[in-house]
Amino acid sequence: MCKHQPLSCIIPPYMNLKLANNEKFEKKLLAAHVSSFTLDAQIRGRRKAFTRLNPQSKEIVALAALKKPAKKVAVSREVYTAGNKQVQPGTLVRKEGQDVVKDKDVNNVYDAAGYTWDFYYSLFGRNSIDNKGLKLIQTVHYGKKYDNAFWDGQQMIYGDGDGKIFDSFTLDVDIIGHELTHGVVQYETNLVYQDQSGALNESLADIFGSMIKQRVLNQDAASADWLIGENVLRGKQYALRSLKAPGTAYKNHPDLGTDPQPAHMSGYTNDPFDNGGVHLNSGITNHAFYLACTEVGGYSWEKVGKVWYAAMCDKKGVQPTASFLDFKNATLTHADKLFKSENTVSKAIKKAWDSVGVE
Amino acid sequence: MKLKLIEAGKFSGLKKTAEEDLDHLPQELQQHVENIFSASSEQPLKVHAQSAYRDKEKLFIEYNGKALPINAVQPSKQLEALIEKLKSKLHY
Ligand SMILES: [Zn+2]
Repeated sequence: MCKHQPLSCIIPPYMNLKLANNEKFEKKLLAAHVSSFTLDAQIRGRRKAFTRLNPQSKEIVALAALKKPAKKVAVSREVYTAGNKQVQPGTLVRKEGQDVVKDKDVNNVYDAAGYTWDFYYSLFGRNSIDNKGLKLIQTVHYGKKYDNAFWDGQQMIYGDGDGKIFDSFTLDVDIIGHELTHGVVQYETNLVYQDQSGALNESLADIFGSMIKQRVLNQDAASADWLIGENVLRGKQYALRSLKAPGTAYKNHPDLGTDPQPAHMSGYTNDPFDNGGVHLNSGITNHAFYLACTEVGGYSWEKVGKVWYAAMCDKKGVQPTASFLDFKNATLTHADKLFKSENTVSKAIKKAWDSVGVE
Repeated sequence: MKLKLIEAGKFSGLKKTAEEDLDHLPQELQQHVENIFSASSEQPLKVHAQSAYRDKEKLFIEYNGKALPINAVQPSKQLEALIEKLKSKLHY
């Protein structure tokens, strides 16, 4: 049974040799004929045939031999434990392909990183954080009662929470998707973590974290809860952020009070302790995304999510110090490019940005 | 006058604080804090923007209406001990 191209099977070897030596052939065609000649030569054991090729064909055969086989694109994960110390990466507990372990937090982040990788690869053809297959390194049990998760420029780190207000930061897929997306932004538009560009950086992390969760749960824009961190913040009625209704994720919490995120530019706050309010003002752009998705309908990642991804990777249109307005303009440009025949997408996106006061 | 320790910039966006009245603490420590804050530059809070860290907590000390990132000050042993004490008292 012939395993290579059917055309090569039915062409006799002497004809391949003739074709391979034909200088009038375009380079691509020539390479194809040289390739089938090589296979035939291997199969039929005619090693001496190489000597009968002209110099150009010999070069192509030699280069083809040197060419490495295409590398299989696949996720690569490593999960470490810090053992409740402030060390990283710590001790390796589970790596790619290994079975589940006893530690639930390890399995949570292993799975969530897999969902995140698959989200970016199957929807946008993106191979990991750097689009070059970067290994996804994560550390759990960082510090003692550490109530945070962060991206350090190379890996993700998660704390166990204090057990009173916060549970483990590994419990929500959207948080893992959020931290990984900080990595994606770092390799793309690299938005400066200050003021509006910083809030955009935070917002993209929330938006993609939310979409990753929605895809895992197979929820469309209308049925999704659009909450971030609803398992990490203890108490059924609480979450950390809401893209649907910023400022309502938690209300009258006994320790935390009420969610301070604005949903409109009129509530823009400059918090000097949070790089100009990056975790606050992200509510404005988060809400714009939510409004556009619900206006368009269907799954968030199908149309509006595609537009946001294109803008997130548009290094020309979105400079590192981009403002909300710059990002709005980039989304409108990409909506026109991606959905030319469906101007409802562009219209919904423009309406959403206008509604949150980015005009 | 009170010295406040502020932890901010975390994933949750929530702040933790703890404070201590300096009035009943050694004069030397009070003077050291005065000196640090009177010598500080105009926009010291933006120093963190260059870091690759995202959502990592940042610590600040605030005194007399002015705040400084903790890694921008060189504390004396007394102030260092006070900051450690305040860290253990941080709350939402
Ligand atoms: Zn973040």
